[in-house]
Parts: sequence; structure tokens; C-alpha cells
Amino acid sequence: MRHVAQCLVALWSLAQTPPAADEFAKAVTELASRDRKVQEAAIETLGRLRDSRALAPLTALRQGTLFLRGDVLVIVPTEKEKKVFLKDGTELAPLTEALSGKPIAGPDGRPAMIDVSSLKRVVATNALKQKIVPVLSSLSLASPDPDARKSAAGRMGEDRAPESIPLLQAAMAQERDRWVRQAMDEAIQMIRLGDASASVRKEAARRLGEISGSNAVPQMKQMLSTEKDPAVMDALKAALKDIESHESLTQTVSTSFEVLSLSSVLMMIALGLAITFGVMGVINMAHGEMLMIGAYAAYSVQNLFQAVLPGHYDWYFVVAIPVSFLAAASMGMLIERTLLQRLYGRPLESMLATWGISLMLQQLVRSIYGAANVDIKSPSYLSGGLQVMSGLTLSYNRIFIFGFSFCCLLGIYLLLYRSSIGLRIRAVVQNRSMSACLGVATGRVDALTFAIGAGVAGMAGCALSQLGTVGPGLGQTYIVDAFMVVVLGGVGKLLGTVVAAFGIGGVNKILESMIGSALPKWGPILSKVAVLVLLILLLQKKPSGLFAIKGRHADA
Amino acid sequence: MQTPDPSTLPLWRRLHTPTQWIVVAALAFLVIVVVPLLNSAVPPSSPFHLSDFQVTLFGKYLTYAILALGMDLLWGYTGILSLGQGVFFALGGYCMGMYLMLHIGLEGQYHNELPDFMVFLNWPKLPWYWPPFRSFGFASLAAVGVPTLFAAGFGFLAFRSRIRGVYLSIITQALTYALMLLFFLNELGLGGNNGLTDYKTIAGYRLKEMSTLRGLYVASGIVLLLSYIACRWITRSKLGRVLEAIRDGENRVRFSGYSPVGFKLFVFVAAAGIAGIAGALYVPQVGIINPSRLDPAESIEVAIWVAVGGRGTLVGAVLGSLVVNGLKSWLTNKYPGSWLYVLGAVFVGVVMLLPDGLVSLPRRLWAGWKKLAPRAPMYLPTVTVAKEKEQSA
Amino acid sequence: MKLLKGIGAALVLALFAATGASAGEQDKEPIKVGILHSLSGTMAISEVSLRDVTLMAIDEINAAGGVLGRKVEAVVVDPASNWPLFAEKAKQLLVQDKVSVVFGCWTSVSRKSVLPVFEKENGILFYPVQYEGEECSRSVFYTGAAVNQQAGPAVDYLLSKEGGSKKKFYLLGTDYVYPRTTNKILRQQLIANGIPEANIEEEYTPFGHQDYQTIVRKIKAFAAGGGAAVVSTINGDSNVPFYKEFANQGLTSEKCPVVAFSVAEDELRGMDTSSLVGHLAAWNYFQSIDAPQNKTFVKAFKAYCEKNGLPGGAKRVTDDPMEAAYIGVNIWRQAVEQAGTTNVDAVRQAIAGQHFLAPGGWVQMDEKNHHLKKPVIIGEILADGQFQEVWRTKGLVRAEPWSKFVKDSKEKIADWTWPNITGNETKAKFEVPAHP
Repeated sequence: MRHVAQCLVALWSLAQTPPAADEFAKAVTELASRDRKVQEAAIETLGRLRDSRALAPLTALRQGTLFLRGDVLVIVPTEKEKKVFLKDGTELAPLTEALSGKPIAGPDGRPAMIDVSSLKRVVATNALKQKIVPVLSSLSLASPDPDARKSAAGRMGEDRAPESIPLLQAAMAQERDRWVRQAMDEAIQMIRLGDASASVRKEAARRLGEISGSNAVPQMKQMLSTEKDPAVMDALKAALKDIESHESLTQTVSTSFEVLSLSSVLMMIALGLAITFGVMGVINMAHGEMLMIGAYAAYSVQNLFQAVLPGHYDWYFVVAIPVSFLAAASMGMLIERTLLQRLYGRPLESMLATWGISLMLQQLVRSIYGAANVDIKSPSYLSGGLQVMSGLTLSYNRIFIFGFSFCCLLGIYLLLYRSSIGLRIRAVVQNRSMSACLGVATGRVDALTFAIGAGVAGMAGCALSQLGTVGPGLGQTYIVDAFMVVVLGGVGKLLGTVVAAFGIGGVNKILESMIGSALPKWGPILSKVAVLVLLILLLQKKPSGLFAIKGRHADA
Repeated sequence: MQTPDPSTLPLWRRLHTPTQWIVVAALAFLVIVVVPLLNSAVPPSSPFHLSDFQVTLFGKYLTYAILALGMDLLWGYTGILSLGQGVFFALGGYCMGMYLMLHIGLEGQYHNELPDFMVFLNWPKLPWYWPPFRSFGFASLAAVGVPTLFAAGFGFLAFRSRIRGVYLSIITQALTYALMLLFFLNELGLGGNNGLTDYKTIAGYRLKEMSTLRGLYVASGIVLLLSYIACRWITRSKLGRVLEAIRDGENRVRFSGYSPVGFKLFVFVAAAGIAGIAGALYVPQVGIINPSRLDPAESIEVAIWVAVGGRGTLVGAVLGSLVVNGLKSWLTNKYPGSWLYVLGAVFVGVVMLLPDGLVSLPRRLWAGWKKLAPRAPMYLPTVTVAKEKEQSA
Repeated sequence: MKLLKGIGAALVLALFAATGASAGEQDKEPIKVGILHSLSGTMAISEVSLRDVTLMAIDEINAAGGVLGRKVEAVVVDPASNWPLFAEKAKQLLVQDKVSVVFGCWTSVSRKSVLPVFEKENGILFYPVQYEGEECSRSVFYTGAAVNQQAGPAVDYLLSKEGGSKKKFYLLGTDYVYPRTTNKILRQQLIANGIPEANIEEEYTPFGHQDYQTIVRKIKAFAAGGGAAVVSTINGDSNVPFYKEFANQGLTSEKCPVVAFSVAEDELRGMDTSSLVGHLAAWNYFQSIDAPQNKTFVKAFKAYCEKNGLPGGAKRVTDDPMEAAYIGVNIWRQAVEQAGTTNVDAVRQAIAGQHFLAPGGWVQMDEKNHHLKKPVIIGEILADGQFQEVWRTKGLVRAEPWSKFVKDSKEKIADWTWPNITGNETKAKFEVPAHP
């Protein structure tokens, strides 16, 4: 009889779902309650349970993407590209179940696209959202995303709750990412700065100086006025000094990196222009629009991938580069064959004709893609950055663009100096009539050069699309600077364009910081004016640019 | 028959033949006298009446024509494609604008002696460079003087170092771009992005009154006429010859013993002064001046006007500015979504098909017509040869 | 040469005639309305959507039978982001095309250049964009927010407990009149609420500024110790680098929220929103407002774009200026129906006090000051470029075109009804005689 009773008890307890899981499910379901107190209690429970599955529903509740579909709690994705817009304006989206995290499938097994307007949003008041934040941050410590872990640690450091220390230490022990570990360490030290014991504070300050914990600086500065213990004061001062010198180092590196990346973009843009000008003596006022065509080509490729191959979205960029080259190059070829060919020998007229083309191209883009800016999402391998020092992250897309521009430069170099076409191009640049006499088909060289120049601009546009906004006015923003690079660098040597691009970019930045420290608001503007003045003065000595071809050419 | 050497003729004959003078006078009469009368004297019900809107519009076009004249002198006759004429136009405009702002007096939004934008920027008093513009005379002189001085300085640096051709165009474009950014700064005290606007009176006359606007129109017409005569005089003089020579072959001019720098500087400064006057006349008629006037696109448009009308002919410059601006006004109404295609196509078409501009159209048509017309039989060798010999004697 | 001159003269005359006679024969039946938005140039980015929504509103009106039994015909012109051209087009719409009303403008410069034209020719302009106030023209109806209908309540929210009881405010903007005036008013408002001057920082960057490193570092130092917020009037393309730098330097929206006034759904559509998520914006309308008439409006607009082949199609979004433009068209329609005529003076009086069920809820045109009474909503930016409502004023906020916080203008009266009949004087135009 006793055995039977024991078996029954055992069976009965087996039949129960594990209490923790049950509690979790209950708490998640209660998030949708209409009673604010029930919601608050649910949030606290989820925080206590430390179940990382709660991250998704809590984030959704906070962002307002938690909905009820009948009785089931679902999450609507926030990424635009996951949604589908029907012609009558209905919005469809794939849903994930809040409790299990699994997507809701349709009859064919694939995620079902459901009309968003049929769902009922779960409302969270602002006060409730404030309560979610600390829970989210403690849960985020175990998030798969290192940035989320870093910011979670940072938040805990700011909250300075001593209870967080064991949590952080436990997380640190399991952490493999160096910078996340450092962020957690920083957070622990920041909390310890508020400790009652002076030796703990001193050790915390010292450690912060060691790891250059810049997030702690405001707190440490505040402590300078309230601290009584002299040893701690010394430690604080030393740490602050260390951190400050570290910060100026990161600042310099960061600024230089930015200059390098901007100059490399400028160089790519100016390369095409310089080549065209060298060969044909024509300044292409529509060069900026070649840039724009390249950027919009990337946009179209992105859309295509989103529509047709959403799973391989990340590869759109690889396809976009040659597509933008070809798009811009074909437009360039078209312009050259129809227009510029007939305007041979009349550089000023060519400028004006290409200006007319640029107006038409801008309007064309406006008609097809709209006058508004378009959004181009970086592929995942270009998003985020590389942390090289504490407090210094170099974004991947800038690193890529820097490398890419030099690859382009190398490509152009190889083309110009190691191929037969390049030989012909250089010949035409040096002496057109003589080359024609020697059998070089100057007309064809012109067409090819213009196409290549436009194509390089197209690729630059594709690169630019990762950096900033893309709109019909994209070309106009960069073109004046590109012109100045060509004027400064001279024509005929690639080195000229490179030096000029980095020169103008660097000088601009240096002047900006110099003027900016004296007259804060005038910095960026006056630096542009100053660069122009310097350019004019430099041209006094070298009117054809820094690296002009020496030769006995008479009238231009 | 050879054309007589212009320098031997009296001044008025040098500029135009008598018939040409009649045409010029007729056109001037039409523009300066008839048009305002059609507005003021003819009743609105009559089909000949020109509305207030049209008169002010034409006034604006006239100031553009003045600007184009200077550009033509610079580009058409001397071969300097300056893509920065907007700078001088805007400088002249700002000088007049400052004068007009100071004469709003207490009628502004804040009923304060200071211009409105200074009031809401909390500036306590006028910066040092504003008070002199209270005088109409000073403002008018400055509208010519400031651009001229600026052009002199810039031109000296540019031409002395022999910056030429496309390089010069780019430098001037960069100049107008940099100045545009500078003028956008509110700290400069020139109204920033909002510019100078909301004018009330000019030289004591209310700007809202049609009579004032008609007066400005007439003034623009007179200035256009005078500028035209002045430019004509320059181009028909020996100086003009040198300028054309510089356009055609600067190095040869240098080898011939002339220093092109002085000539180029002269014409650059002259064009700047003309642009400044144009700007000063433009601003009261349009009612606003703001830094977007300094946009490189606006300066490039000036070159387009001259190219469309006909470089190297002053009439072409005037014609081009009127045609292009009229076309733009009409197109932005009729085809607001696609007018840029048409305008762009016009630019490209004119540059390609009519490199000498619209003024060359009659000549080409005439030449084409002559080709189609029946010809005299070729079989009269002795007579034709003798005639030719006589002609070349 | 003579022939040349003759042709030139003829061409010139022909041109004069052409520009003069472009209007053509007036058709009495349809009511003409003007649409004055830039369709090319720098402002086209924002203004094209306004043209689209205005045309959609007119289509809806025509589908429902028109106004006073007459169809509404839109005269669309392109002033190409060129301010003198705005004035020229405005004059032409009023004088030559003889439109009954104009819906247009975006920047204050454009509005200021057309203002004298409207006042001289006695026209009506509906202006749908948030602006800096300091104006109240007889000829203009402002359906966009004045400073106290957007920035003011946003600051109140930040000062309140719900908003985080912020004590330090960094006022950052692009260098033009709207941020300057707004910040001037906000500064006074903050001081009146007890925030010391030392806790208010003001900074401006030029248009198109990209490098926010130094400024964000300043903000970080400013925000240290908590209780800080950034009030951003940064415009256009500068937003993305600013928010990116903000995130890069470790500032989060919890630590130091950024409340923006110039970032709406239409701008977010073309931006990389990853660094903006979590930050705030203050508007009178969001596309995500959960109301049936809003859902209909959004769906209708998307369908309209799709049907007319407008770029973006069904992915287009609606935002505050678009709703304001929509409100303007409908209020005008109501006023004309009520007045029974399109006569400008009659319609102007009829517009005052009109109620309308806008997509975002009931709004009312103020009885006196030509502005719109609207609710103010604070929204949090989501990853898909939409906003999640976080806070809302109780009821509609009445506009104060002359801010009570600016000493030069707080005395001004904005009341076009009798006996004041003024938009910028400090005393009434007419004296009310004392009763015997």
C-alpha cells in the first residue's frame, strides 16, 4: 500500500511541469495583463528567474512590439525589410511567439505573413518601461550580442548597486570577449568606488586608471571634492591623469582615422575625374551624378536581394560593387559617345554640356526613386566596429572603404602602367596628336577612359552608400572637394591625386581643430575657406597642380 | 570693300552703324518706356495691359541680363570662364540689402531699430560694418565697390599665377561655395539662412507701391542700356581687340609684348562691378537676398545664359538670359515634375547644335536657305573672275 | 546684323507675351487651388511628400463630390528650392491663375519670401510645417506647430517625473532661425522652471556638418552625474553622424535622452536608424497612433502612392507635416462649404474655429490666432523608423505664436478678431467704446 502511495506521489510529481518553467510561462503571459500591478509583478518575477528567454518579450514590451493575437502573445519584428506592404496599404509581418521564441508558421511550414492591423498591442506605460530597463540590463549580461553585454555592464556600473558585483563577477568568469570583460571589470570598480572601506576605494581607483575606465571619470571627479582619505585622493588623481592621457591618445587616433577614411573616399572620387581630365581635358560636371548612380545601383541591388534572396541578403554588397561600376561606366560611355565626342577640343563647352546632363540625371533619379533619401543597410560583416583600445572603436565600413579605395588605386595603377590600354591612355595624355600619328585610336581611348573614370566614381558611390545618407543630391555634396583635389594634384600622375586628396582632407581637419579651438563656431567653415586660400597661394607657385606633367605644351 | 579701321571713326559710329543704333534705340524705348506705360497707363481690362506681376518679373530678368553682360565680357570676349559671378552679384545684393534692412526702421516685427534677425539673436547693437549702409549713396557705392575690390584681390592672385582655363573655373566655383558656407553662419551678422528680407522703403519710396517697382524696372532698363553701351565701347576699342586676342591665344599675346595679366584683371574687375550693380538692382525687386544665391549652381547658370544666347556677342548675352529665365519660369509652371529634363536638354542641345548660341540661328538658317536656293549657272567664267578681282582690289 | 537685332527683338517680345499670357482662358467651374512645394533642389527631399498628401486630399474631396458642388483643381508649380522663385510663383498663382487658396512652403525663408505677396494680393496660405513662431500673418493659417506646441511641452515632459526629472539641458541645433528662436524660448522656459543658467548649454552647427566628436564629448562631460537631456534641433543629413557619434561614445537614451524636433517618419525612412533607436522625438502626430481614422488615412496614402506609381509605393510613410497639410486642405474645404463661397475674406473668417477629425484625433483651428490647437506627443524611435508613443499632453494645446518667454514679443497680441485685428501689435486696433 505504501509503495502504491509512493508511486502515486512520484507519478503525480512527474506529471507536474517543473515549477520554474511554469512560473516563467505564467510571468510572460501576465505581461499582457491589463492590470499594471500584475504587469509589474511579472517583470520582477522574470528578473528574479534570470531566464534569458525573457529578453525577447521584455524588449518587445518596452519597444511596443509585443502584441496579442487572440490569446497568444506574439512579437512583431522591427526591421523594415522583414515586412511586406501590399498595394492597398496593408502591412504584413512574420510573427514570433513570445513564449517560445519560435516563428509562427503558416500551413506550408514557412513563416506566415499576418496583417499587423489585426493584432492588439500590449500597452506599457512609461513608468512600467522604466521598470523593465534594469531587468533587461541584468538579463542582457547573458545576451549573445557582445555590445548588449557591454552596455548592460555599463548600466550596472552606473546604477552602482553593490548587489550587482557578484553577478558581474560571475559573468566575467565566463566571458571570452576581452573588451566585454573589461567593461564588466570597469563596472565592478565603479561600484566599488562607493565602498565604505578606503582601501577598497583606493584599489578601485587604481584599477580604473589601469584599464582606462573613462565611464568612471565623472564619478571620480565628483569624488575629488568629497573624498577624505588622502591615499584614495592620490589614487584618484593618478587614475584621472592616466585616463586623460589615454583619452587624448584615442582622440588623436580616432580623428586621424576619420581623416584617413574621408580622404580615401575623396581620393576615389577624384581619381575618375583626374583620369578623365588628363586624357580629354574635360571636367565632367556630371561626375557627382556618376557617384549618385553608383549609390542608387547599390540600393537597387539591395532591394533585389531583399525581394528575391532574403536569406543571402548580406551578399548584396559583393554584387553591388561591380553593378555600380558597370552602371556608372555605361552611363559615362553613353555621355561620351553621344556628347563629348562631338565637343572635342572645347573644354569649357564640355563642362556646360555635362552640367546639363547632371541636371537631367538628378531629375531622373528623383522620378524613379523619389526625391527623399533612401536607406541602405550595411551588410552584417560591415556593421559594428573593431575595438582597438578602451574607448576606441573603428567602424568596419570605414576600414573597408579605406582598404577598398587603395585597391581601386592599385587597380587603376595596374591598368595605367601595366596594360596596353594604359599605355595608350598615357600616350594620349602626354601628346594627343603624336599618339594619333603613331596609330593610337584616340577616340576609342577617350570613350574607354571616360567610362573607367565614371565607373570608379560609381564604385565610390557604392562605398559612400555605406557611410551616409543617399539622395539625389549626393553628387553635389562631394563634387566641389573633388574638383579641388584635381586642381591641386595636377593631372598625369596618380600620385598627385593621392597626395592632394589626403592633403586637403588632412589640412582641412587640422585647420578645423586649430580654428575651432580659437573660434568654436567658425571652425568647419573657415577651414574650408582657408583651404581654398591655401590652394590659390599654392597655385601661384605651381599653376598646373602639384604633380603636373612637365612638358612643352603650349596653350591649353 | 574693306571695313574701315574702327579707331578712325567717331565714338558713336564706332559702336554701331546708324541702322543698328536705330534698332537699339527702338528696343530701349520699348523696354524702358513702353512696358511701364502698358502697366500704368493702360487699363487692366485691355489686352495690352501688362500686370504688376509681369513688370516686376521683367525687372528681375533685366537685372539678370546685366549680370549676363558682364559674364559675356569675361567669357565671350576674354575666354575666362568664371563660375563665380554669383559672388559679386550676391555681394552687391547684400550691400543693397543691408541698406534696405536699416531702413525698415521701426516697422519690423519687433519695432526695434535693429533688424529683426539681430533682435531674436539677442544682439545688443549693430556690428561696426552695418551703420555706414544707412546712406543710400554709400550702399550704392559699396554695391559696386565691394565686389570690385574683392575681384581685384582675387583676380590679382589668380591671374598673376597664370591659373587658366578649367582650373580657374574650378577655383571660382570653390570660391562661391566657400563664401556660401560662410554667409550661412549667423555669426557673420548678415541674417544667416534667412537672409535679409522684409524691406519696406528704398530711398524714401515705399516698395509696396507699384510706382516704386516700376521705377526700379526703369532703372534696371537704363542700367542695362548703359552697361550695354559701355561693354560695346570696351569691345570695340583697342582694349577689346587685346581681350579677344587673349581669348584666342594668350601665349601669343604675351609673346607680342602685352601683359595679359593687367587686361584680364581689368575685365574681371569690370565684370564684377557690373554684377554688383545687377545685384543691387535685383534685391529690392525680388525682396530677399540669402546665401543660396551663392550656390555654385546659380553661377553656372549665368554661364549657361551666355552660352545659350551666344558668347562673344553682347546681344546674345542679353537674349540668352531672357530666354533661359523665361523658359524656366514657364516650365516650372507647366511641367513642375519634369522641367529639369527640358532645361537640361536645352543646355545640351544648344551647346552641341548651336555652339554660337541663339544669335547664330538666323545666320545659320540664312546660310541653309542660301544652299537650297537656285544658283546662277556656273558657266560665266570671265565675268565672275573679273568681278572677284575687282572686289579684292 | 540688323536681321539679328530684329529677330532678337521679336523673340524678346514673344517671350514677354508668352509669360504674360500663360494663364489662358479662365474656366469658371472648378475651384483652383495652388500647391507651392519644391519638387527639385535641396528641399525636395521633404516637400515632395507634402505635395503628394495634398493631392491625395484633393482627390478624396473630389471623389466625395467636390466643394460647393464644384471640382477642386490643383495648380502645382515647382519653385525649385529657390526663394525668389517662391515669391514669383506665389504671385503668379494668386494673380494669374487666380487660385482661391495656396497650400505650401516648408522653410521659414520660403514663407518669409512669399508673405509680402500674400499680404499684398490678399491670398490665403496654409503652412503645414513646425516653425519658430514670432509671426502671425492675416493671410496665413499655420497648421504646423508653434514652439509651445512642440518644444515647450517636450521640455515640460523632461522636467517632469515621467520624463526623468532632468536638471541639465543641452540645446543643440543646426545654425538657422528655427533652432535659434526655439532655443531662445526654451532657455527662458527652463529658467522660469528653476533650472540655473549653468545647467543650460546652447550650441549650433552649420548645415551638413558631419563631425560631432567634440560636441558629443562635451555632452558626455555635461551629462556626467546624470539628470541631463539633449534637446536637438539638428536638421537633415547631420542627424545620422550625430546619433552615431552619440552611440559610439557610450551615451545611451537612458543616460541622456535626445529629444528631436526635426526627425519624423519620412526622414527616418531614408536613414540608418540603428543608432537612433530608443531616442525621442516630439510631434503632434505619429503614424503609429492607434485610431481608426488614422489607420484608414495611412492605408489610403500608401494605396494612393502605389496607384499613382509614386516612388516608394506602399512603403511610404505619413508624418506630422503631412498630417498638417491634410488637415489644412480639409479645414479649408469645411470653411468654404460653410461660407458658401470661395471669396477670400469670407473663407478667412469661416476658417477660424473649425473642428476636424484629423488622423491623429480631433483638432481645432484657433478662433483667433490662425493657428491649430493640437495635442503634443512624445514618441520613442523604433528600429523600423516608426515611433512608439511614450507621453501625451492632456487635451489640445493652444498655440502661442508670440512666446510668453521672449521679452521682445510677449506683449504682442495675435488675435485677428475684433477689436484686436492684429497679428503683431501690442495694442488693439480698435477701441471698444465704454458702455454709457
